[in-house]
Amino acid sequence: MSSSSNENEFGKGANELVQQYQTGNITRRQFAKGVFLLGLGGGSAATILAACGSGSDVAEITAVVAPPDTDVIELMGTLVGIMTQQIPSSLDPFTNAQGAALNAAGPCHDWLEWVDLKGDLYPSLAETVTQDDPKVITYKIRSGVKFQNGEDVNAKAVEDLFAWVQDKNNGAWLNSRFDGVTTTVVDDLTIQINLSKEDVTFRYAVSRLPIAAVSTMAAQALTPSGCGPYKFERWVQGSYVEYKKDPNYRNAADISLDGIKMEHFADANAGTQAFLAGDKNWVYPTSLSQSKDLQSREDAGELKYMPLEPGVCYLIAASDRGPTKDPNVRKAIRLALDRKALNDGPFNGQSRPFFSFLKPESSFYSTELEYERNIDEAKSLMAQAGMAKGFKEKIYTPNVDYFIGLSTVMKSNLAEIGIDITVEIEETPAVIDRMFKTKDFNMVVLGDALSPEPSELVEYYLRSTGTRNAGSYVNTEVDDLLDAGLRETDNAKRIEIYKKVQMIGLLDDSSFIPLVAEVLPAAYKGANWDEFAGGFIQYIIWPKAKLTV
Amino acid sequence: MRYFLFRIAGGLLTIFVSSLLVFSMVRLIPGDPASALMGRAFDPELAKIMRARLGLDGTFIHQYSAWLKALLQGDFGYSFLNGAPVGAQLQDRFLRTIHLLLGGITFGLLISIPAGLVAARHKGKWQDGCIIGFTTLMLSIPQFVLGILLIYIFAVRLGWLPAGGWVDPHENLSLWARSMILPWMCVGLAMSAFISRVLRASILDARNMEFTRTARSWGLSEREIDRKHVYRNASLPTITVVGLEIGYLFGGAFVIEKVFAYPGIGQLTVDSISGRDYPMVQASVLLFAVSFAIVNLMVDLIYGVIDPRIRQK
Repeated sequence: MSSSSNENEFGKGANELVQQYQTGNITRRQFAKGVFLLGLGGGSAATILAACGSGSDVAEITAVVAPPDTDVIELMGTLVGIMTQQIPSSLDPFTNAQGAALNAAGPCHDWLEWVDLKGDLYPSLAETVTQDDPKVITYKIRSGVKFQNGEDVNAKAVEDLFAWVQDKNNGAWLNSRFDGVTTTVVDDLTIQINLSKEDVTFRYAVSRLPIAAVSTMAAQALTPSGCGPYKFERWVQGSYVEYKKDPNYRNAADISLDGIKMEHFADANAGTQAFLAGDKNWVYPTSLSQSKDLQSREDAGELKYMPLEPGVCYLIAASDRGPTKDPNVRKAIRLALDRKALNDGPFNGQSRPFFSFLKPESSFYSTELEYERNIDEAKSLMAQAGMAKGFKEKIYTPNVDYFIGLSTVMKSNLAEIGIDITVEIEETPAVIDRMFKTKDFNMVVLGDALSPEPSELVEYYLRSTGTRNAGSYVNTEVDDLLDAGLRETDNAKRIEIYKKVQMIGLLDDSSFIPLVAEVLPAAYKGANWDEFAGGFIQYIIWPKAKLTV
Repeated sequence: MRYFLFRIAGGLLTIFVSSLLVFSMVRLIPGDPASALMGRAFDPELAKIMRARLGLDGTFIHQYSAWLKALLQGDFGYSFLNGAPVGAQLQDRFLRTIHLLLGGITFGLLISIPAGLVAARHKGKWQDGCIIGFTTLMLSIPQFVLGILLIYIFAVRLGWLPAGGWVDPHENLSLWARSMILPWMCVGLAMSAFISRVLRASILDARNMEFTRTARSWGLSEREIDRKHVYRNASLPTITVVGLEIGYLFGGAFVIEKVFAYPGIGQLTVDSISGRDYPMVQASVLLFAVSFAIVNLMVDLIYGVIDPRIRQK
């Protein structure tokens, strides 16, 4: 739709609404609903109503809602959304790795670079980034940027932040990723990052670190502060967090919203109902059980529905103990799994099979990793392992609906090759403890956030010293390949390396069995989310948010 | 006086035992605060440092005595998850839960008392049948289902009331009241079913007691007998049930708070358990115990007022 026709259509709709309201043909509520269907937030509705009340003419009113210079109509007012499932207990994205904390604190932060929906790095606070040597990265920071507390965003501030993350006493969850890194302030706005070993992937780790003044770190949990487009206003713990537009943001003119309010609903069903009932702009994630209803509403033009894929659900079978120590058993397990059933049941058909650490759209993905379910071959592998009669085992499962669903389907699948599974449901921290601290398990199901960078998850799970290598998988060939991958700057060669790593780790050794995408659907209305929602990291990329109708 | 002191001592003992129990039990749950905070990004080395920093590397006795000592000085400690003082967070949440429960209980009593009286007066008639049917329905619907149903009907379909969330009453009192109607209904409807049934049964029982027959033989009217003897006697079991229901509601408020996204103490407690926020869990469970003890104490005191024989015993 062209700029002018868009404005005309919109202006006509708004004018008609205003006229109907002024002549008393529709109630205030019907008016508000109409405004909302036009895609405006509560702030705009209030502005229009106020204008009506003061007797302003219609031309003034449409001017408020239809800026003439844009090819889209920007949403004003406060964007109100519903975040479900997890209630954030802290707004500190540095020490709290929960998605809820990351999302709740996001609007006030900005990053040196961020990862867009395609997985490409995109400069934000950094004006330029260079990495000619795999061990040296140079960030040139934009000039004139200030933190919300008034301090300058410069090379020294970034250096201080890196040092803060590296201090283990601060408990930054990215700490291990920053091990051995040193920094050099080249000039006021240029910082050089020196890595202890070749690592072309370190920039992706930096893209997960919001840039904040070290002097604000102690207060981040309750009053987050960074250099992002919105300033923290209020947090009613357990209820909502509110932000107002920061007029001093480096690109203040690009930010069209007056504010953002995120309401927290612990129950996804109730949150989805509240979204459908009220003037809320989005709900994330929606209830999976209501996905069909939301899709039909999308077909009817009521809303937009996006089944985002921030993560991958996986099964780990221990490589150094129990019956799964034999690689043939692990291979049999992966061949026996019915990924269609894993998607249809737990995810209500909203997910898709996964065979890799990467999305199939990634240039590093290889279709050679895919395979069909094959019960005969699985039985044969069980026989080769001397376990033709099967065995009894437990799958430890976090008490999250879809993980329980996955384990239940796997129980049924694995029964076909003689493996008698008991689904052991535990709270997520207990499962995490079991996996990484006590290693008291043989099989466990969990999920992890996807990354566009191929090395990230393979480093965690397939390297013999990887921090998330819960199955104690050791393969020196894989370790050597991973070292080579970190050194290699040629993309074609990297593709080959990571393909080989996955062929060995995921197929030959089956130390890590990807199941399906961890789908968290979003539904929204009155705004276009496509540009900024989800992506590979769990942040909503607020600095990039261009809300349109 | 001895009666009251005895009851207060019992309450204090309950609170002390609860504190010991919750302190031990929360540490017996698998998974610790470090695992909860780091989640999937777990780092064993960092977790060890974090445990030491949170004071979790001392012995159980050492940790318990330090906590108890601080508690006696009115210090609930600091949240492991956000570093904020536990006392201040609890105060806000507790007051909101009190708002929720007081409104809900009032709503429930406004329904259950007339319903119980009408059902008892019209025993076996259509009015009784309707009330029995309604209460059976309310008793058979789980509270979270009732909550979702109320949201669907009054918020999604009719659009009369907000679906959930919390509004600060200091900012907008009328919006706050509107946002509270559905949660109050959910609390009230569920408790009213049980209380009205108990009240009905107690009244019918009291009407068959010897003292009622004696009053009739004296020539008192049925209305007078009800007012002077039946209601007074029927109120004792009803008050017991109301007290128990209130205690139960403190514990069960989480369900309603979850469905209506209401930031009360129930939700805080469950989130704190999931996040292994030991100081918060300990303090909130202790607060539940204190609340329950106070409600019980009040019920006991009301008993004494209604029936002087209890005081004398």
